[in-house]
Parts: sequence; C-alpha cells; structure tokens
Amino acid sequence: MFKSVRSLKTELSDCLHRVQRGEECWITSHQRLIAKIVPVQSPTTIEDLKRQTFLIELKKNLIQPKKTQIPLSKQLIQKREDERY
Amino acid sequence: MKLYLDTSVLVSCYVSEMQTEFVFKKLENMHQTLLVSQLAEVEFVSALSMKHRMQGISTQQKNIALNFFQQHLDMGYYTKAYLTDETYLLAKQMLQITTLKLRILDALHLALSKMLSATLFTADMLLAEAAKKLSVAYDMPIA
Repeated sequence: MFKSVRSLKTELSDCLHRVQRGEECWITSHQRLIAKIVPVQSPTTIEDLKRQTFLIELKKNLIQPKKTQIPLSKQLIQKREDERY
Repeated sequence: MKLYLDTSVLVSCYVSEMQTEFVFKKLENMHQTLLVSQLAEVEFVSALSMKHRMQGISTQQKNIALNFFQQHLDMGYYTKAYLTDETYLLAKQMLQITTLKLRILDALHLALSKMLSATLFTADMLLAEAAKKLSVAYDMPIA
C-alpha cells in the first residue's frame, strides 16, 4: 500500500494493522517514495531485540589477545586453583 | 530463567578464546536474565589487569574491554546481583563443608546463585563440581 505523510497522520493505526498482517506500507511525500514500513520478522519482543543487539556488540568488540598465551579464563581458573587448599 | 555469569565465562565474552563461541551460543539460545554480581565485576577487572601485566593484551585493549563491560552494565544488559547478609551467612555454611575446598569467593558465588535460584554458568570445573554437591543448578560452556 502507499500512504502520503499527510494521510499517514490520520490512518497510522489502520496502516500498522495491515503491516502486522504482512503488508508493506510505502510512505510518499510530494509524489516521491521516502520510507517503508515492513512487518517485523524476528526478533519478536523488545527483550529479544535487546539481547540480539547486545550479542552483536559483544562479537564486534571482542578483543584479540596474543595467541602465545593460554586463554584468560584458564589463567583465572589456575589462579583460583592455587588459592584452594 | 536466570543465568548467573561466573567471571570464568564473563572474560571470554570480551577477550576472544576457544570457549567464546560456546558462551555466545548459549546466550543466543536462551531467553533469560543475565546476572552479574559485584564479585564478578571486581574479578573481571582483576583478570583483565592480570592479562595486561602478562602482556597478553595492550593497555588500549584492556581499557576498551573494561569500558564496554561497564557500558553493558549501565545499559542494563546485565542484571546486578547484590550481596546481602543472607548471602554471607549461606556462604559461611558452605565453607564449613571442608571437602568442597572452596575459596571465600567461590562460596559467595555459589550462595548468590542458590539464593537467586539462578543457574551458575561457569568454566571452572571445581566450582561446577561444588555446585553439583550443593544442589546449585549449573551449566558449562562446552560443545
């Protein structure tokens, strides 16, 4: 479907209802396409989105240590074991 | 469901290693609250500083990891788990079981996990074994 910015102001609720059922809504301004509203595929909740964003951030910023050393988790565990008796 | 992140797992979320992949897989597949205690926060800083001292990561890398971890705490990606009088009391009881060979921090991690009815997610085999003996739910980052 196509909606002008002006009509979208009064028909937003109807538009979103149709998008939820699978339609796509193109937004026009002065006869030009400027945006598109599409149904959410996945994630389905704000919590899912938050979790996915978090994991993307973690993967993107993962530190690459020097490969000659043993992994940090192992170093930490070794240190712990030294303290256990 | 709540997942209590032990420092041995938390460090591999920020510094790449073999188990990182398994940790991420676990976090991807589970819809649960990620708990991080004040103890883990302090241990995390200590572990990164140790790695830096041993020249495994640069000063810049250490600072980046610490900043991201703090940002993730501030943004609420983790839920903070706080120590209470009851936590210390339960830890004290756990430390009396001499066969477990627990450190003070081990007992506090275990007590917090138990009190919060959370699953302890750890890469530390001895901590996992103690959890099993104390009927604390646990999980490990293995394939």
